[in-house]
Amino acid sequence: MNIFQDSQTYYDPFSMTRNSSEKSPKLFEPQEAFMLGNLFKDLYMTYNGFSNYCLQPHNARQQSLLEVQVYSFVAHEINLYLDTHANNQRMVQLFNEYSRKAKEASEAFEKQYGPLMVQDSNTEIPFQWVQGPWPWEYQK
Amino acid sequence: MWAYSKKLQYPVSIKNKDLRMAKFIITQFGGSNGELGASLRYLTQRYTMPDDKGKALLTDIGTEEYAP
Repeated sequence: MNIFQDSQTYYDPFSMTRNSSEKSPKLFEPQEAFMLGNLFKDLYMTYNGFSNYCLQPHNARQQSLLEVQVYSFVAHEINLYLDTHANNQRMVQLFNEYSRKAKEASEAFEKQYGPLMVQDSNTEIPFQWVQGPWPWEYQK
Repeated sequence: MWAYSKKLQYPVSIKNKDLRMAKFIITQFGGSNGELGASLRYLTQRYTMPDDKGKALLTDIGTEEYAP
């Protein structure tokens, strides 16, 4: 999408809808989408000489969490897309696929490193949920 | 209405103290055109949305803007 195009003289947040009402949008691969912060190729614009940081997990915990983050991000991007394009069958399929992957990755993470959601805490004593680290705390 | 999880949407690892950068970042979140203000606008405007698209979109986007 080129926002400097002559034909586009007004701001149109739903242009993606009308240009491709039946077609599905082109997508980045999950890893790349996560790095760029954008799943949709047509909505991504590079910024002046800026290159994105390539994420490198330093340990098994970070690796496991990164997997959860990547799939959750992709599922969430598709969720936002589907809010305005609820009838796109391919995107609904992709949403199901990535939600499932995110769920599997979460379960794998939680099995080893503790709950991500409070309802996934087990009923042990002491209650696992209150144990750190919390996301804003520095972790090696 | 909300559920949260114990992870960030994007991994953060701060290696050095940088107060000038911290000021930019807190302004991005809490400043006059920041995400915090945007989130409250989205989450308030959604109550007057006449259609399902609008309700869903404003709730999802408002949540995303709000969550640090």
